[in-house]
Amino acid sequence: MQMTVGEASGALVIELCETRLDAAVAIRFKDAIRSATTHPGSPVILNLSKVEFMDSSGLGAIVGAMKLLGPERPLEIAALSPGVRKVFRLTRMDTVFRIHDCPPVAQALPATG
Amino acid sequence: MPDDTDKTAETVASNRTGTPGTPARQGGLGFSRLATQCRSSLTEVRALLQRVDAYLCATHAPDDWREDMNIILAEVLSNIARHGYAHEQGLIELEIQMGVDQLDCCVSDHGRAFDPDIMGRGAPEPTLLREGGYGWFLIRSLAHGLTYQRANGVNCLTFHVPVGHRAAVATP
Repeated sequence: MQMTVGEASGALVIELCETRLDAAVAIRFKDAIRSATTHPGSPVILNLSKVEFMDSSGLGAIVGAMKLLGPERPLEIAALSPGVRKVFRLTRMDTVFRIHDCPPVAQALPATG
Repeated sequence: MPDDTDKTAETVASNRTGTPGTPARQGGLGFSRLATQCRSSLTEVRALLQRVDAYLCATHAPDDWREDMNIILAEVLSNIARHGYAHEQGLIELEIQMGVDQLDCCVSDHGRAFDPDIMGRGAPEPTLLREGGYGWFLIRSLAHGLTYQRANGVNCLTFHVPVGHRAAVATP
């Protein structure tokens, strides 16, 4: 599970470098988020611009990541492809997450674990 | 782990002119058929879904339609892999028939029987932050004409997606 981490105006920006966030990688995704969020920064903005497809397991993993971070460190989502946006919209989970059309420009941070 | 690549049978038939393995595309959506199968690991399911997506791309099917099909199939197939076969390995077979104005799909497997009537009747309330329970709701939201049959130990789920279909936004 490839991710890059960056900082933008105090936020931690995590870019997922995968084209699919699905049942095959959902558990690894949560582990990678746990590792990436050892960097400071709030909110955590998840840049999904490279993700072309997400299923309900992927959505569940993002919800799990949100719960992992807790209420003091909100998880926000950026740059959804139309198919990914559709899953958020149909399940109404777009009412729970703040969704940015574009990811913020981030200063790269060194990778963790 | 054995290499199952060779076990994957795939055929694409067309009643229009075209090279073998390439969906016909001559006006409209063409008419073609894809029959393929995979074993029930999530990795192989993913590979099959990617083949289906490549097939749909090659047909120049509308993006909206392809997105719906990709979501439905991902949910159906991963449910079979995780629940139908649970800890066993088994075969999942998929057939897609492309018509003028809809895509017909049949998915069959030898896993446990299930009752689709009781699944996905509503989405989890978003504020509950559930990590699961969305799959069948998505299938129901996007697939038309769902049928399920169990015969001789085989589950067979059929549905279609009409071209130009726009998914309704779920209401509370």
